[in-house]
Amino acid sequence: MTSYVPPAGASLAKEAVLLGAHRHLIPNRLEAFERVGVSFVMGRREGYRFWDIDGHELMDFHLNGGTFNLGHRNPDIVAALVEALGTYDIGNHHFASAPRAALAERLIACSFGGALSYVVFTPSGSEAVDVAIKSARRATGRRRIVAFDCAYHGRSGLSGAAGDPSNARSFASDLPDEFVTVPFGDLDAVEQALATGEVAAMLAEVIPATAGFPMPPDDYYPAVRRLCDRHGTLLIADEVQTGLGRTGDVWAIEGWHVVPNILVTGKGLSGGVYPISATLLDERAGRWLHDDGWGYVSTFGGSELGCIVAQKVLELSTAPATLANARAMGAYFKERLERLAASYPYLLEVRQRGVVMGIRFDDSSGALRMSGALYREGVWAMFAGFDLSVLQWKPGLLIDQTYADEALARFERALASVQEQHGAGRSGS
Amino acid sequence: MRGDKRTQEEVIEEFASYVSPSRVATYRQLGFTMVPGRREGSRMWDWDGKRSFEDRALVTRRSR
Repeated sequence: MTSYVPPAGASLAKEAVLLGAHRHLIPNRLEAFERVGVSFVMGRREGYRFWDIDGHELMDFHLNGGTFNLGHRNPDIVAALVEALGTYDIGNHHFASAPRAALAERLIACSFGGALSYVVFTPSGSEAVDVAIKSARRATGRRRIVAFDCAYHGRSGLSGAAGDPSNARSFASDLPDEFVTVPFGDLDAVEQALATGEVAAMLAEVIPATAGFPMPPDDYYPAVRRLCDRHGTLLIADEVQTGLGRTGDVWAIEGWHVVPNILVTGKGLSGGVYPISATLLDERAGRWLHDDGWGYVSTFGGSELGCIVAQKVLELSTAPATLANARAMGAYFKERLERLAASYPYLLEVRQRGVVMGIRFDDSSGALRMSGALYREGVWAMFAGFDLSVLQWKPGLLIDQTYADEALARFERALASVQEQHGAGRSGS
Repeated sequence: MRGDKRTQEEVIEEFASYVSPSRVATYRQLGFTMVPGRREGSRMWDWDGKRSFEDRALVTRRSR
């Protein structure tokens, strides 16, 4: 076990938390963060800001992947949960449930004009991806799953084996015969994989987050849809990070007029206060729900409290004004950041669709350096784990221009300091 | 149920349509269509508040 000394200057209360976390929870993660100058214990949180227990303020541009789309402790969501606690609890996972039925109906109603049919609720996005994979396998009688090599789908057994396999490999849990990968955006590779006739599902992280939100060409998903239809393969849209209004549509894939057979949502559905995720299935993928009522059982999946929270989340996230704000704020950031790029050559590229954004730097570790610099300036934005030159930039759905301007001012100071230290033209360094 | 005007049968139909048709079919076969409503301690009542159950009575062979 490595010896660990909390950073100088931490209060006794913070030291105690860090020591406990290092001893029993996340030793490597704490050390990795501290190497880039980040040492944080979450205390107060409100709207799109949160504070270290010693007081350091951060504007939230990570949002736990969209979990805090509507802000931390959004008052409407907290009120819905508090009111629900007067009547409900987790509920019974065997019986018909009123909150679960109502949420399922609402999810279907706000998705692709009702083209999907059924909903399976799970506690986490990983499990929701597992349900999607199992449903596709049962519907097609095939086992193989194709995903992008830069995709992240979760850390449970099946979801962890899909997409980038490095983590699953490190736990001897990869399944290379059943889980195949293709490069994102490469249609020939998709066609080649599906042409085997053995693929149950094309599992698409619609805009891969951990790769830094690379945007697909406009004809990509329509073509993937056609290939799936031609080869009898189901299309699964993993919208855990991109759905619930973040692209300006309720679901990102809607933007390309594509209807998947299965859709996975999570993170933001929780309102940041009660874990809940969901898998939406079309008639074919959900056929097993007619044959086997206990084909999937989860004690916590579709908790009634979570369902009531998620109802409020859907009401707020899918409101036309919210979707319009996501489009407007995303466009505003893109325009302002591209203006900065003209003055700071270290900033290479701004990827943007609604408030799904990635910022690429002219340095293979540029986003790592920017995360640290932004942290010091009071902004929390994380590097993309599979491409350290790209910063994930995740504004909330309800931010306004004043908030955006404050964040941009902090961003420019961080950018100036990193560019001064590391200069431009450092690709591959 | 407080604040929700749907009847028990409406909830069951909605649940069968969007969540689990097979489960509802099984419950209908058993003559046991029940939507949990009020709950307190080790008792719960159906959606219409008419019947109460002790939790242990709900244990079935398939539960876990």
